[in-house]
Amino acid sequence: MSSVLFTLAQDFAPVADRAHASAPLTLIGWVIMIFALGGVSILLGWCIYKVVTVNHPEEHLHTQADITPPDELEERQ
Amino acid sequence: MPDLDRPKEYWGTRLGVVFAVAGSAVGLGNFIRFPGLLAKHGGAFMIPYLIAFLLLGLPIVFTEWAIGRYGGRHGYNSPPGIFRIVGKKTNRFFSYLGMFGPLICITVFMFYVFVEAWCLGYAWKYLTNTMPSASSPNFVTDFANPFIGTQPGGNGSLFIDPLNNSLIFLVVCFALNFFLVYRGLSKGIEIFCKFALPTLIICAMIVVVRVLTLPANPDIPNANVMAGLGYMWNPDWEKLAKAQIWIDAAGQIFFSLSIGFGVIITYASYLKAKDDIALSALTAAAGNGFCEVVLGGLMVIPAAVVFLGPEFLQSDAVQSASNFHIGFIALPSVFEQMWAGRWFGFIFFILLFLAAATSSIAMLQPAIAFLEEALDIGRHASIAILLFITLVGTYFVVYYTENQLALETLDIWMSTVSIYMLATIEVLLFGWVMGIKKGHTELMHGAHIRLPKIIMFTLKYISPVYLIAVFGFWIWGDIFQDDELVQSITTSIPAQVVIGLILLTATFILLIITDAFRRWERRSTEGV
Repeated sequence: MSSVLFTLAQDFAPVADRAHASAPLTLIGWVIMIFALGGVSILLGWCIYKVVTVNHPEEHLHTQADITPPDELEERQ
Repeated sequence: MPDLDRPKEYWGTRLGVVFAVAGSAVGLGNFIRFPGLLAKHGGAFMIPYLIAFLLLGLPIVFTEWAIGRYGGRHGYNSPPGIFRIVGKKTNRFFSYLGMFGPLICITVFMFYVFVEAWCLGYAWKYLTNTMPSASSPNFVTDFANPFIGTQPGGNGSLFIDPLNNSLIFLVVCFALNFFLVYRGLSKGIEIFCKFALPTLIICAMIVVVRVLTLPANPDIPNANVMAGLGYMWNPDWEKLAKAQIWIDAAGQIFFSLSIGFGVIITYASYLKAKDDIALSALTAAAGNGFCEVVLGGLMVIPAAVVFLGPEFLQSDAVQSASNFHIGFIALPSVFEQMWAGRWFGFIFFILLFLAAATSSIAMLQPAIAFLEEALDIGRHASIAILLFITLVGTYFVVYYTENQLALETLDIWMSTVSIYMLATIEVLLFGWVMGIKKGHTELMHGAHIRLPKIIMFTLKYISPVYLIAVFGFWIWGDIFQDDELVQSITTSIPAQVVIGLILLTATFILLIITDAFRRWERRSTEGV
C-alpha cells in the first residue's frame, strides 16, 4: 500500500521548473490572448460574411463531409 | 473523370453552408488534444501555435485542396497516385513519398478509434447516470485511469473486465466504423453531423461561459479562472528555444485541420474543376481555429486549474500522459458543477464521439482509395485488408495502455512527426515541382475569393524553410543531443512494438506501390 501511495505522490509532485506557470494572467498574457481570440474570431466572421454573400454557395463550397467517394456510391448501387 | 455526388437539397440555406464548412473541422483535435498540449507546454505554446497557423496551416490547406483536385482530374485519388501525376509521371520517387498518406491514415486510425471509444464510454456513463463523482479525490485513480487502463501496471488490464471499461466501447466503435464504411452508409452519419456539429459548438459555448464564471476553489491555492488563463496565455520564453514545442504546435495545426494526412487530398480529388477551394478551405480553417482556441482552450485548461489546481497540470502524471488524457479528467468536473450537468455531459461527449466518428471514417478513405488504385481491387476487398491491419494495430494500442505508451508513441511519430514530413513534401511538391504559377492557377480556378500574393510567396519560400528548419532543429536537439526520445524507444517494449508495426505497415505500402507502377505506367502509355 505504501509503495502505491509513494508512486502516486511522485506522479503528482510538481516539477520545479514549471512552478512559475501558475501565475495569474500577466500583461503580455492579456495581449497574446486578445490578439489570438480576436484574430480567429475576426477571420471566422469575415469568412461567414463571404460565404453568405456568394451566389449559390451550396453549389460550389465543399468540405470532406459532403463529398461521397464515387467508389462508395458504386458499391451502394 | 470521377464525379462528385452532390444532392442539391443537401445544404438548404446559406447558414447551412457556413455551419457545414466551419463545423467540418471540429473534432477530438480541438476539444481534447489541443488542451492536452497546452497542459504540457503552458502559455508558451500559443506563440508557435499562432505562427504555425498563419505560416503553415493556411498555406498547406490550400496546397492540399489544389493538389488533390489536380490529381483527381487526371484520374487518381490516393496520395501516391496523385504525387506521381504532380511530380512528373516518370519519377517514381514522388509516389514512394506519397506512401506517407495511407500510412498515416492507417496508423492514426489505430489509436484515434480508441479515443473515440472513451468519448462513447463517457457519454454512456452520463446517460445511465453511472459516472462517478468527479469532485471525489479518487476520481482519477479509481475511475478515469482504470477506464482507459493508463494506471501503473495497466498493460492488458482492459481485457480483465472488458464490460466495465473502455474496451466494450472500442469494440462498438470499431464495428460501427467498418460497418458504415463497408455498407457505404457514411453519408448518413455525415448528414446527421451537419446538425450535430453546430449543436456541439453551442454546447461548448455554454460550457465555456460556465467555466469562465466559476468561483475560485477554496481548497486549493491559486485555483481560479485567472490562474487558468495565465497558465494558457502567459508565455514562458525559455520554452520557445526547444524545437519540440514548435513541432508540437505545427503537428497540432496539421492534426486538427486534417492536413498532412492525405485525407483532404483524396477528398479534393473527387471535386469538379469549377468548385471553390479557396473560400471553403479558409472558412474551415477559421472555424477550426475558433473552436480550438476560443472553445477548446478556454474550456478545459481553466476548468482543470480551478478544480484540480495548477500543480496538477504541472505534475509528471499530466506532463507524461498522452495529449488526449486531460480533457477526460477536467471536463467531468465542469459538468458536475453545472445545472443539468449530467445531460450536458451526455450531449457533449456523444456529439464529440460523432464528430470523431466522421473523422475516423474519413481517415479510412485515402487508404481504401490507395488499395483500390494500386491493387486494382474493389472497395469491399480493400476494406477487408484495412480491417485486418487496423485490428492488429489497435490490439497493441489497447494492450499497452500503461501511461498510454503505445498511443503516445503513435501520436508522436505518426500524428506529429510523419504528418509534419508529409506536409513538407506537399509544400515542396506544390511550390517547386508543380510550380507556384501553375499551383496558383489551379487554386484560383472557381475560387470565390482572391488570395493575396503573399500566400504564394509564403508557400514557396517561407513554409518550406520553416518546416525544414524546425525539423532539423528537432532532429538535432531531440534525437542527437537529448536522448530521452531515443531512450524511450530502446527501453520501452510498447514503443518498440509500435515502431515495428509502423515499419511493417510502411513496407507493405511500399511493396504495393512498386507493384502499382506497372499498371499506372501502362495506363499512362495507353492514355487511359
